[in-house]
Amino acid sequence: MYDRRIAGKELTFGVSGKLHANSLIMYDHQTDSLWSHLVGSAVTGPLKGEKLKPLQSMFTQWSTWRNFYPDSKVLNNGRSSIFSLRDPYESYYRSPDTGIIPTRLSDKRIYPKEYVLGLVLNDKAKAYPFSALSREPVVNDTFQAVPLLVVFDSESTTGMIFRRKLDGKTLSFKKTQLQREKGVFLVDDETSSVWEGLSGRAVQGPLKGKKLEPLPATPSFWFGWADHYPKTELFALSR
Amino acid sequence: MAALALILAFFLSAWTLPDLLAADLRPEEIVTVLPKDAIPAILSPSFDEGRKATWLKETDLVVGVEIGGDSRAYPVPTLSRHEIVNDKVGGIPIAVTW
Repeated sequence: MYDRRIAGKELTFGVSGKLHANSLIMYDHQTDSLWSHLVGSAVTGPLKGEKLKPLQSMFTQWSTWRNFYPDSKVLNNGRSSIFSLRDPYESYYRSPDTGIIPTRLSDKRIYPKEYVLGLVLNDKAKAYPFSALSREPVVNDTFQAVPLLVVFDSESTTGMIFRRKLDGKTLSFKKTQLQREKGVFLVDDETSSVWEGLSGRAVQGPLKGKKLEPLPATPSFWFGWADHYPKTELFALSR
Repeated sequence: MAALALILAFFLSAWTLPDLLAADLRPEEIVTVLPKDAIPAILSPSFDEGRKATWLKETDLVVGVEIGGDSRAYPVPTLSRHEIVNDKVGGIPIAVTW
Protein backbone atom coordinates (compact mmCIF):
# COMPACT_ATOMS: atom_id res chain seq x y z
CA MET A 1 0.00 0.00 0.00
CA TYR A 2 1.36 3.37 -1.05
CA ASP A 3 0.78 7.09 -0.91
CA ARG A 4 0.15 7.74 -4.62
CA ARG A 5 1.68 11.21 -4.70
CA ILE A 6 5.06 12.01 -6.25
CA ALA A 7 6.42 15.46 -5.44
CA GLY A 8 2.95 16.54 -4.31
CA LYS A 9 1.26 15.48 -7.56
CA GLU A 10 -1.42 12.83 -7.42
CA LEU A 11 -1.06 9.78 -9.66
CA THR A 12 -3.66 7.13 -10.46
CA PHE A 13 -2.62 3.61 -11.33
CA GLY A 14 -3.82 0.96 -13.75
CA VAL A 15 -2.82 -2.64 -14.49
CA SER A 16 -0.25 -2.71 -17.31
CA GLY A 17 -0.69 -6.40 -18.14
CA LYS A 18 3.05 -6.77 -17.64
CA LEU A 19 4.92 -8.73 -15.03
CA HIS A 20 8.36 -8.43 -13.49
CA ALA A 21 9.55 -11.64 -11.84
CA ASN A 22 5.91 -12.77 -11.63
CA SER A 23 4.86 -9.61 -9.84
CA LEU A 24 2.39 -6.94 -10.96
CA ILE A 25 3.68 -4.01 -12.98
CA MET A 26 1.43 -0.96 -12.70
CA TYR A 27 1.35 2.08 -14.95
CA ASP A 28 0.32 5.58 -14.02
CA HIS A 29 -2.30 7.34 -16.14
CA GLN A 30 -0.44 10.66 -15.93
CA THR A 31 2.96 9.72 -17.41
CA ASP A 32 2.61 6.06 -18.50
CA SER A 33 5.67 5.12 -16.43
CA LEU A 34 5.85 1.48 -15.33
CA TRP A 35 6.02 0.71 -11.61
CA SER A 36 6.82 -2.39 -9.57
CA HIS A 37 3.99 -2.83 -7.09
CA LEU A 38 6.15 -4.93 -4.77
CA VAL A 39 8.98 -2.41 -4.52
CA GLY A 40 6.96 0.75 -5.20
CA SER A 41 9.38 2.33 -7.64
CA ALA A 42 9.19 3.29 -11.29
CA VAL A 43 11.17 0.93 -13.52
CA THR A 44 10.81 2.75 -16.86
CA GLY A 45 9.28 5.94 -18.21
CA PRO A 46 9.46 9.63 -17.28
CA LEU A 47 9.23 8.87 -13.55
CA LYS A 48 11.91 6.14 -13.62
CA GLY A 49 13.71 5.97 -10.29
CA GLU A 50 10.93 7.69 -8.33
CA LYS A 51 9.70 5.82 -5.28
CA LEU A 52 6.23 5.78 -3.75
CA LYS A 53 6.01 6.16 0.01
CA PRO A 54 4.86 2.85 1.53
CA LEU A 55 1.99 3.00 4.03
CA GLN A 56 1.39 0.74 6.96
CA SER A 57 -1.51 -1.67 6.51
CA MET A 58 -2.78 -4.91 7.99
CA PHE A 59 -3.36 -8.16 6.08
CA THR A 60 -5.76 -10.08 8.28
CA GLN A 61 -9.19 -11.65 8.70
CA TRP A 62 -12.29 -9.46 8.63
CA SER A 63 -13.23 -10.32 12.25
CA THR A 64 -9.79 -9.25 13.51
CA TRP A 65 -9.89 -5.95 11.58
CA ARG A 66 -13.46 -5.21 12.75
CA ASN A 67 -12.46 -5.78 16.38
CA PHE A 68 -9.82 -3.05 16.07
CA TYR A 69 -11.89 -0.71 13.91
CA PRO A 70 -15.63 -1.24 14.54
CA ASP A 71 -16.42 1.82 12.39
CA SER A 72 -14.44 0.54 9.40
CA LYS A 73 -15.93 0.75 5.97
CA VAL A 74 -15.65 -2.13 3.48
CA LEU A 75 -14.99 -1.85 -0.24
CA ASN A 76 -18.11 -3.15 -1.98
CA ASN A 77 -17.06 -2.88 -5.65
CA GLY A 78 -17.72 -6.13 -7.44
CA ARG A 79 -19.63 -7.85 -4.68
CA SER A 80 -22.84 -8.00 -6.72
CA SER A 81 -21.14 -9.82 -9.58
CA ILE A 82 -22.25 -13.37 -10.25
CA PHE A 83 -18.82 -14.56 -9.18
CA SER A 84 -19.51 -13.17 -5.70
CA LEU A 85 -16.48 -13.03 -3.48
CA ARG A 86 -14.65 -16.15 -4.56
CA ASP A 87 -11.01 -15.44 -5.12
CA PRO A 88 -10.00 -16.45 -8.67
CA TYR A 89 -6.56 -17.38 -7.36
CA GLU A 90 -7.75 -19.78 -4.65
CA SER A 91 -6.16 -22.82 -6.27
CA TYR A 92 -2.97 -20.86 -7.04
CA TYR A 93 -2.53 -19.99 -3.34
CA ARG A 94 -2.70 -23.69 -2.46
CA SER A 95 -0.56 -25.04 -5.30
CA PRO A 96 3.26 -25.02 -5.35
CA ASP A 97 3.19 -23.01 -8.63
CA THR A 98 5.21 -19.82 -8.53
CA GLY A 99 3.55 -17.87 -11.31
CA ILE A 100 4.02 -18.19 -15.05
CA ILE A 101 7.63 -17.11 -15.45
CA PRO A 102 10.38 -19.32 -14.03
CA THR A 103 11.55 -17.81 -10.75
CA ARG A 104 15.12 -16.63 -10.46
CA LEU A 105 15.05 -17.84 -6.90
CA SER A 106 17.88 -20.12 -6.04
CA ASP A 107 17.44 -19.38 -2.38
CA LYS A 108 15.60 -22.44 -1.11
CA ARG A 109 16.02 -21.74 2.57
CA ILE A 110 12.24 -21.91 2.84
CA TYR A 111 9.37 -23.13 0.61
CA PRO A 112 8.88 -20.73 -2.35
CA LYS A 113 5.16 -20.26 -1.68
CA GLU A 114 5.65 -19.62 2.02
CA TYR A 115 4.21 -16.28 3.17
CA VAL A 116 6.72 -13.83 4.58
CA LEU A 117 6.40 -10.40 6.12
CA GLY A 118 8.88 -8.20 4.27
CA LEU A 119 10.50 -5.06 5.61
CA VAL A 120 12.78 -2.50 3.95
CA LEU A 121 14.85 -0.18 6.14
CA ASN A 122 17.64 2.06 4.81
CA ASP A 123 17.31 0.23 1.49
CA LYS A 124 18.02 -3.11 3.11
CA ALA A 125 15.50 -5.92 3.17
CA LYS A 126 14.54 -8.52 5.72
CA ALA A 127 11.85 -11.20 5.61
CA TYR A 128 10.05 -12.89 8.50
CA PRO A 129 8.49 -16.21 7.44
CA PHE A 130 4.98 -16.86 8.80
CA SER A 131 6.09 -20.41 9.76
CA ALA A 132 8.85 -19.11 12.04
CA LEU A 133 6.58 -16.42 13.48
CA SER A 134 3.83 -18.91 14.28
CA ARG A 135 6.38 -20.70 16.50
CA GLU A 136 7.86 -17.50 17.90
CA PRO A 137 5.05 -14.92 17.75
CA VAL A 138 6.92 -12.17 19.61
CA VAL A 139 10.35 -11.23 18.23
CA ASN A 140 12.52 -8.50 19.73
CA ASP A 141 14.77 -7.85 16.78
CA THR A 142 17.25 -5.21 15.68
CA PHE A 143 17.66 -4.50 11.97
CA GLN A 144 19.71 -1.64 10.49
CA ALA A 145 20.31 -0.49 14.08
CA VAL A 146 16.56 -0.04 14.57
CA PRO A 147 15.06 -1.97 17.51
CA LEU A 148 11.99 -3.77 16.19
CA LEU A 149 9.10 -5.72 17.55
CA VAL A 150 7.54 -8.33 15.28
CA VAL A 151 4.17 -9.67 16.44
CA PHE A 152 2.25 -12.54 14.91
CA ASP A 153 -1.26 -13.78 15.64
CA SER A 154 -1.43 -17.40 14.48
CA GLU A 155 -5.20 -17.55 14.72
CA SER A 156 -5.77 -14.86 12.10
CA THR A 157 -2.29 -15.25 10.51
CA THR A 158 -1.61 -11.55 10.96
CA GLY A 159 1.88 -10.09 11.33
CA MET A 160 2.82 -6.55 12.33
CA ILE A 161 6.16 -4.79 12.78
CA PHE A 162 6.71 -1.87 15.17
CA ARG A 163 9.60 0.25 16.39
CA ARG A 164 10.14 -0.83 20.00
CA LYS A 165 11.62 2.48 20.98
CA LEU A 166 9.25 4.80 22.79
CA ASP A 167 10.19 8.30 23.96
CA GLY A 168 13.88 7.45 23.58
CA LYS A 169 13.69 4.22 25.55
CA THR A 170 14.03 0.75 24.02
CA LEU A 171 11.51 -1.77 25.31
CA SER A 172 11.68 -5.58 25.30
CA PHE A 173 8.51 -7.59 25.00
CA LYS A 174 7.30 -11.05 25.81
CA LYS A 175 3.97 -12.74 25.38
CA THR A 176 1.39 -12.65 28.15
CA GLN A 177 -2.27 -13.55 28.50
CA LEU A 178 -5.28 -11.55 29.53
CA GLN A 179 -8.30 -13.26 30.96
CA ARG A 180 -11.32 -13.37 28.69
CA GLU A 181 -9.47 -11.51 25.95
CA LYS A 182 -8.73 -13.02 22.57
CA GLY A 183 -5.67 -12.05 20.57
CA VAL A 184 -1.99 -11.48 21.29
CA PHE A 185 -0.98 -9.55 24.40
CA LEU A 186 2.52 -8.55 25.42
CA VAL A 187 4.23 -7.27 28.53
CA ASP A 188 7.37 -5.16 28.46
CA ASP A 189 10.30 -5.94 30.78
CA GLU A 190 11.01 -2.29 31.56
CA THR A 191 7.65 -1.08 32.91
CA SER A 192 5.49 -4.23 33.03
CA SER A 193 2.85 -2.47 30.96
CA VAL A 194 0.52 -4.74 29.00
CA TRP A 195 0.20 -4.21 25.26
CA GLU A 196 -2.24 -5.34 22.62
CA GLY A 197 0.09 -6.97 20.10
CA LEU A 198 -1.43 -6.26 16.71
CA SER A 199 -2.32 -2.63 17.40
CA GLY A 200 0.84 -1.86 19.39
CA ARG A 201 -1.23 -0.06 22.02
CA ALA A 202 -0.56 -0.23 25.78
CA VAL A 203 -3.79 -1.24 27.53
CA GLN A 204 -2.62 -1.55 31.16
CA GLY A 205 0.20 -0.27 33.39
CA PRO A 206 2.33 2.87 33.45
CA LEU A 207 2.43 3.23 29.66
CA LYS A 208 -1.34 2.73 29.19
CA GLY A 209 -2.55 4.75 26.20
CA LYS A 210 0.87 4.87 24.50
CA LYS A 211 1.23 3.45 21.02
CA LEU A 212 4.23 1.94 19.25
CA GLU A 213 4.99 3.23 15.78
CA PRO A 214 4.05 0.62 13.15
CA LEU A 215 6.35 0.18 10.15
CA PRO A 216 5.12 -0.53 6.61
CA ALA A 217 5.58 -4.26 6.09
CA THR A 218 4.74 -6.17 2.93
CA PRO A 219 3.16 -9.62 3.08
CA SER A 220 4.43 -11.60 0.11
CA PHE A 221 5.27 -15.06 -1.10
CA TRP A 222 8.94 -15.86 -0.42
CA PHE A 223 9.81 -16.34 -4.11
CA GLY A 224 8.44 -12.90 -5.01
CA TRP A 225 10.21 -11.17 -2.14
CA ALA A 226 13.52 -12.96 -2.73
CA ASP A 227 13.42 -12.34 -6.49
CA HIS A 228 12.99 -8.60 -5.92
CA TYR A 229 15.34 -8.41 -2.94
CA PRO A 230 18.00 -11.06 -3.64
CA LYS A 231 20.17 -9.84 -0.77
CA THR A 232 17.36 -10.01 1.74
CA GLU A 233 18.05 -11.22 5.22
CA LEU A 234 15.82 -14.02 6.41
CA PHE A 235 14.69 -14.29 10.00
CA ALA A 236 15.29 -17.75 11.44
CA LEU A 237 14.46 -19.23 14.80
CA SER A 238 17.35 -19.17 17.23
CA ARG A 239 16.61 -22.68 18.43
CA MET B 1 47.69 9.37 -12.10
CA ALA B 2 44.57 11.35 -11.31
CA ALA B 3 42.94 9.87 -14.41
CA LEU B 4 43.83 6.40 -13.24
CA ALA B 5 42.32 7.11 -9.84
CA LEU B 6 39.18 8.38 -11.54
CA ILE B 7 38.91 5.29 -13.70
CA LEU B 8 39.50 3.13 -10.66
CA ALA B 9 36.86 5.03 -8.70
CA PHE B 10 34.42 4.58 -11.57
CA PHE B 11 34.91 0.84 -11.69
CA LEU B 12 34.72 0.54 -7.92
CA SER B 13 31.46 2.48 -7.81
CA ALA B 14 29.99 0.45 -10.67
CA TRP B 15 30.96 -2.62 -8.74
CA THR B 16 29.57 -1.61 -5.40
CA LEU B 17 26.47 0.23 -6.65
CA PRO B 18 24.19 -2.82 -6.86
CA ASP B 19 25.09 -3.59 -3.27
CA LEU B 20 23.78 -0.25 -2.13
CA LEU B 21 20.34 -0.89 -3.56
CA ALA B 22 18.11 -3.42 -1.92
CA ALA B 23 15.73 -3.97 -4.81
CA ASP B 24 16.74 -5.84 -7.96
CA LEU B 25 14.60 -4.44 -10.78
CA ARG B 26 15.48 -5.39 -14.34
CA PRO B 27 13.47 -3.48 -16.98
CA GLU B 28 14.68 -5.92 -19.64
CA GLU B 29 12.93 -8.74 -17.77
CA ILE B 30 9.49 -7.16 -17.91
CA VAL B 31 7.14 -9.40 -19.90
CA THR B 32 3.70 -8.67 -21.31
CA VAL B 33 1.10 -11.29 -20.46
CA LEU B 34 -2.17 -9.37 -20.94
CA PRO B 35 -3.33 -6.23 -22.73
CA LYS B 36 -3.25 -3.01 -20.73
CA ASP B 37 -6.31 -2.65 -18.46
CA ALA B 38 -7.45 -6.23 -19.20
CA ILE B 39 -7.57 -6.39 -15.42
CA PRO B 40 -9.52 -3.24 -14.47
CA ALA B 41 -8.05 -1.24 -11.60
CA ILE B 42 -10.63 0.42 -9.36
CA LEU B 43 -10.71 4.21 -9.80
CA SER B 44 -14.07 4.90 -8.14
CA PRO B 45 -14.20 2.79 -5.01
CA SER B 46 -17.50 2.53 -3.14
CA PHE B 47 -18.04 1.35 0.41
CA ASP B 48 -20.48 -0.26 2.81
CA GLU B 49 -20.54 0.39 6.52
CA GLY B 50 -18.63 -2.55 8.01
CA ARG B 51 -21.41 -3.16 10.54
CA LYS B 52 -23.89 -3.70 7.71
CA ALA B 53 -21.60 -5.79 5.48
CA THR B 54 -23.26 -9.11 6.29
CA TRP B 55 -22.00 -10.49 2.98
CA LEU B 56 -18.49 -10.61 4.42
CA LYS B 57 -17.61 -13.69 6.48
CA GLU B 58 -15.62 -13.54 9.74
CA THR B 59 -12.66 -15.41 8.27
CA ASP B 60 -12.56 -13.60 4.90
CA LEU B 61 -9.16 -12.05 4.28
CA VAL B 62 -8.91 -8.29 4.01
CA VAL B 63 -6.24 -5.63 3.71
CA GLY B 64 -7.02 -2.91 6.24
CA VAL B 65 -5.77 0.65 6.53
CA GLU B 66 -6.45 3.43 9.00
CA ILE B 67 -5.37 7.02 8.42
CA GLY B 68 -6.50 9.89 10.63
CA GLY B 69 -9.49 8.01 12.04
CA ASP B 70 -10.69 6.83 8.63
CA SER B 71 -10.52 3.02 8.53
CA ARG B 72 -11.20 0.86 5.50
CA ALA B 73 -11.03 -2.82 4.64
CA TYR B 74 -10.42 -4.17 1.13
CA PRO B 75 -11.54 -7.80 0.68
CA VAL B 76 -8.74 -9.87 -0.85
CA PRO B 77 -10.98 -11.59 -3.48
CA THR B 78 -11.85 -8.12 -4.84
CA LEU B 79 -8.16 -7.16 -4.82
CA SER B 80 -7.38 -10.33 -6.80
CA ARG B 81 -9.89 -9.29 -9.48
CA HIS B 82 -8.73 -5.69 -9.73
CA GLU B 83 -5.13 -5.73 -8.43
CA ILE B 84 -5.19 -1.98 -7.70
CA VAL B 85 -7.59 0.29 -5.81
CA ASN B 86 -7.05 4.05 -6.16
CA ASP B 87 -8.61 5.55 -3.05
CA LYS B 88 -8.40 8.50 -0.69
CA VAL B 89 -8.27 7.71 3.03
CA GLY B 90 -8.20 10.39 5.70
CA GLY B 91 -7.48 12.87 2.92
CA ILE B 92 -4.42 10.92 1.69
CA PRO B 93 -4.47 9.56 -1.88
CA ILE B 94 -3.49 5.89 -1.64
CA ALA B 95 -3.00 2.93 -3.94
CA VAL B 96 -3.88 -0.48 -2.53
CA THR B 97 -1.99 -2.99 -4.63
CA TRP B 98 -2.22 -6.77 -4.66
